[in-house]
Amino acid sequence: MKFIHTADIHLGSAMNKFPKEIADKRKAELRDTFKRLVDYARENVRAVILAGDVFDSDAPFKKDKDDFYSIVKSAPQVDFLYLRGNHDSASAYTGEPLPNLKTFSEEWTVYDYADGGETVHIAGVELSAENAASVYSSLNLPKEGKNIVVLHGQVGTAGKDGIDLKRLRGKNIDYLALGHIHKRSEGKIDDRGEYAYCGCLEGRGFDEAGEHGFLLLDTSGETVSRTFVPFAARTVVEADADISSAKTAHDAYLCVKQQVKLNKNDLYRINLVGETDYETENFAADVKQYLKDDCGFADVKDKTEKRLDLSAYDNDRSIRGEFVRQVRGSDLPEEEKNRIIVYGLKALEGRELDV
Amino acid sequence: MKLISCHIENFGKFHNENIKFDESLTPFCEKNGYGKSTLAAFLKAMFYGMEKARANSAFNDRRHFLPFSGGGNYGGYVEFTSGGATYKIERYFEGKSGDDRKLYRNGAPVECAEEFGDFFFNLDRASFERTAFLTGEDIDVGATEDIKTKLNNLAEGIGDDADLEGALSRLEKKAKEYKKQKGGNDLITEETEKVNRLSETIKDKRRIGEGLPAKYRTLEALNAEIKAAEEAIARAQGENVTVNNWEQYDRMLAEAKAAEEEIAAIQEKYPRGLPLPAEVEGVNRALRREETLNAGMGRAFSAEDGENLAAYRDEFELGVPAEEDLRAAETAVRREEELGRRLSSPHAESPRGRELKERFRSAPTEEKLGAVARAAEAYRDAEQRYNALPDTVAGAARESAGKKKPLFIGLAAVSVLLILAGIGLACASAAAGAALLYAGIAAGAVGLLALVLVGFFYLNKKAETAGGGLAANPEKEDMGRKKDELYANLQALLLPYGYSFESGEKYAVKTFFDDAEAYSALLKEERACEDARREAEKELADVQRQLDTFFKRYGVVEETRSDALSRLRMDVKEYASLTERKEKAEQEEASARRELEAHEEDVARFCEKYGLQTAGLEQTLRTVEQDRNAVESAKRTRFERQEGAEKFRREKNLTERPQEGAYDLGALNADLGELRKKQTQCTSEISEDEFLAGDLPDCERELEEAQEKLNGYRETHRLLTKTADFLKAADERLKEKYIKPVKDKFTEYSRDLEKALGEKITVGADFKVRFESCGAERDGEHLSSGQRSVVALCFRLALIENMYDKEKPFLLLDDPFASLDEEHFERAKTLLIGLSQRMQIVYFTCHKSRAIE
Repeated sequence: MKFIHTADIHLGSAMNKFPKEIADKRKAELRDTFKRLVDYARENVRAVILAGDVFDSDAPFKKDKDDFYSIVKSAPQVDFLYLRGNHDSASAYTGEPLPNLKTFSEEWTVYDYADGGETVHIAGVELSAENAASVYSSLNLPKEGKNIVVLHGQVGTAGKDGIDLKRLRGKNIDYLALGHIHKRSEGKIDDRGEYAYCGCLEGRGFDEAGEHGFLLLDTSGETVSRTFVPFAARTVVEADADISSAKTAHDAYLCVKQQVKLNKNDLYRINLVGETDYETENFAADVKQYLKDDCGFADVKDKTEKRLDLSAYDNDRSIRGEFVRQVRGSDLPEEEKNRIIVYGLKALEGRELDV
Repeated sequence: MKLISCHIENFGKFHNENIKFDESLTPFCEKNGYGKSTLAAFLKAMFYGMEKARANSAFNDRRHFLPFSGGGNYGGYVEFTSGGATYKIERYFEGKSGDDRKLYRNGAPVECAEEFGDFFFNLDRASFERTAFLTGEDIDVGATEDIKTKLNNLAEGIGDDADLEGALSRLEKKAKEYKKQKGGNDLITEETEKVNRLSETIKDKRRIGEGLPAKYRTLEALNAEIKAAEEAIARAQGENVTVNNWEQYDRMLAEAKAAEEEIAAIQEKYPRGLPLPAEVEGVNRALRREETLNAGMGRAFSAEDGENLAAYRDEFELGVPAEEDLRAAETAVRREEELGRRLSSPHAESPRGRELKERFRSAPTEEKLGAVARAAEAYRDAEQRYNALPDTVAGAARESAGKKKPLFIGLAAVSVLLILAGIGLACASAAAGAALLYAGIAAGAVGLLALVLVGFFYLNKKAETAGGGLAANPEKEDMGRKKDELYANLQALLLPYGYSFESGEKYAVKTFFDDAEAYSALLKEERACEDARREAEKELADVQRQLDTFFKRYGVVEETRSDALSRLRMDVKEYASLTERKEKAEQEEASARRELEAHEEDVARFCEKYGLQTAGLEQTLRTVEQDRNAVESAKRTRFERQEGAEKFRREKNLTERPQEGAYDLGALNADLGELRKKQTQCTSEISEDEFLAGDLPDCERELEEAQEKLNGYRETHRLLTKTADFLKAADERLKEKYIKPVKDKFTEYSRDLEKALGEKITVGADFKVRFESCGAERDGEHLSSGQRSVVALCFRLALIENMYDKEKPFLLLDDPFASLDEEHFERAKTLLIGLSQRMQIVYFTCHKSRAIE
């Protein structure tokens, strides 16, 4: 039998780590990706394991829940094993009960699936402060068949959001489906079982860069095998581009193009790094504009080091030199000193103070 | 530092120019255009290099002093002493930025990373430029100019178009963009307001968001209530259905009962029972039959029929004509008509008859006929013989020809006579008739033809004779003549009858005999017709008499016999018919009376049986029928309702009658409606709240950005203020560092100035120049321009003394004393020579009067 392991979908997320113009689009893409996942599930799997944080808020909006229920309802032949995480609380709107939406509680709940001679037990529990320590001892799984356990939390010490792997050893777990960490990772529990974070379904900001999707589990073999299925509508990428050699904004854009592989569908955070003159204007806005046809979206940050060669003023006996020496001799932070010096020199030279 | 010499290989107008410098004062008295600026620029270039030549940049020194000669190295070298060592700077420039420089110390190359000028003077190029070169304008310190400003400018290294005050003003202006003292309308104030606004909005949205869970609970409760209400309504509907079913069952039973009552009511009207349908039908039939019979009485044979019958009786008082009489009359009528027609139409003569009559006025006699036959035979015979004879014999031609000549003449004469006879007959035909005309024409034609033939034969014969050799057969010629005669004879016999020989004599003869025969027959026929006519007239008269007698007997008078006969036949027929009908009508009426009596008896028995009145029986019977139908219908209804009710009860499983009546679904639905309204309202509120709260993260982000921006503005404002503070501090420091020493130094020079100018020069705290004259302190404005230039020189020297830490540079003076009078110049010269002991001075003038040896 096959199952989908997904988590941390965060439906209803504001996507506010993205600029406004892209955030709304990403919200819709997130909903659509979940819908596509269910379309995929309808044709391929027996059940979908939702290992927590299906919604973004403690109290998800009714419209987000209704949307979720509607999508789940559209695939009545697929079970959705819904483990609430730290983001879906009991105070949320519950909506209508659906026969294919199976939930967990603060006590272990097991759902069994059989097909031919194969039996799979899927057990899950919602960790809370009240059961964080006791859940481990109350988990009893048979030796026969395949056992999948669903939890939401950080691997480490036991707690409301913590999972103590050591206490799960020897529990006949074949696969521990985890949620909470948005980046994919995996590891071993014991000789029999392994755990994996499937990562989130879509990157919700530039801090969630990289490939996203879900894990497709297959229980037909000796073990529960898993395959990562990339499924996100877009990939979020963060990359640096050294623009030390750039004299103009277009030069900077060309540096970016040379150093970063751009895909028209993906979202990019480009950090302009390197060293530029202190008086060189900020290229970020222009580079962002130049990149608009090269990718789905580009957020450009100027993180260049500003050079300010003040050695020329060492022997300047004029007020310029004196001013520079005064500032440099002060105990202000370097960045402040540089800014004051630039302001002062421009002012003395009668130039526009474009601060 | 002391310049020793310089070699200008190529620089501006100088080419391979060598210049030696005195340790103290090196005077140059050269006319304008010598190259003072070039020399000054060369020395600057040796110590500080030359700026890059940019394509769009201003005309800088590198371009300006590109050698005029166009070839050779662009540059040179300068030798000087400094710090006890002898230095040589070699420097050549190439292209836009090429700078090949070497430094030698005491003849040995020395590495020097920094610029030579910076190294030796510890001063940058701009400061060096401003101090080492002194032109007349620089020297002239006008009365209106503030020495302090000048010194400041020199010290500040900025031009007249920008100064500290300007810089401070700009900083202040910029700072005010961020924060005004009062009035708001600055970036910080605006951004602060935005932050506050966003904070309030966020609070509000959070409040809305916090209220959502409660609204969700409310909605869920409403959903549950609605579900319960719907279930209650469903139950009530079920109950109501049961109640309705019982009501329907009761209605059916009630209808059955009503039917029962209706039957009873009807049956009560008929104490002796309700007549059977067959009986009623029988009585109805009887009544209808009575009516029919009564209506038919006297209608089979009407009064009119009686009158007609009487009339016919009168007509046939003497007896009705039998059929054979009528047929005989019919035959007589036809005969009368036929005879009438025959007698009324005259004998039509046929065209053949007319033709024959015209040919033959009378029938040809036997004698005539015989003559024609004999003539025809004779001709035929002659013709045969003629044809049998050969046409020619030898040697007989000429003789025969001579013998024949009188024959030809005779024939010709006959031909002419015939023609004349023809003409004569034609002329006589006008009085005698057409027959003579034809005869005349025929005779004429024959005569003409004969003449032509005679001529032909004559000529032919003559030709034969002329030809010689074989001659015409004289026997044949004789036969020919004979034949011709016979021919003519035959023609003469037939011509009067108009027969021509155009088609040959045989045809003409035959036609003649045929026509003669036909003519005879024609005459015979005409005679027969006349006889028949007389017979017919007689017969007609007899027939007419018979018919008159016949029709008179019956008094039938019509226009024609046929009409009368038809009329008579019709009358006979009609009379027979009427008689028959009358008899039949009498029989029928008797039968009808008997039947009528029978029916009346039946009806009476019926009425007696059921106690009904005979009067108005028809209506009574209709009522009975209606009542019978009503009873039947009521019985059916009763049966159906009873059966239906039972079936309905079983189907609907009506076992126990509900205690209560129907539920008021209206009220329940109204309650449900209210709940739904609340649900809709709640859902709408939730939607609205979610919409409002939905962009809370965006607002939070916006607030974060605004906060960051506000912090940035505050930071910028702080830094701008600090910048101004630092500038002011630098200014003070500068003044402290440069101006005071300069002032002090100037004071030192003032002693030399007193000697030079003859005035005691002082400088106030405000750097105002004053001098004593005639025991009074006067303002520096009162100094002459020459005196002021000397004062300015001293100021410059004082400045240089303080600005150059390490090595004092040389000083290039470009005609600084041009405006001094001779006396003051001498003093200034002395001063200058004295000053040159302290600093190497290169002195330029273009006036000999201002030359210094």
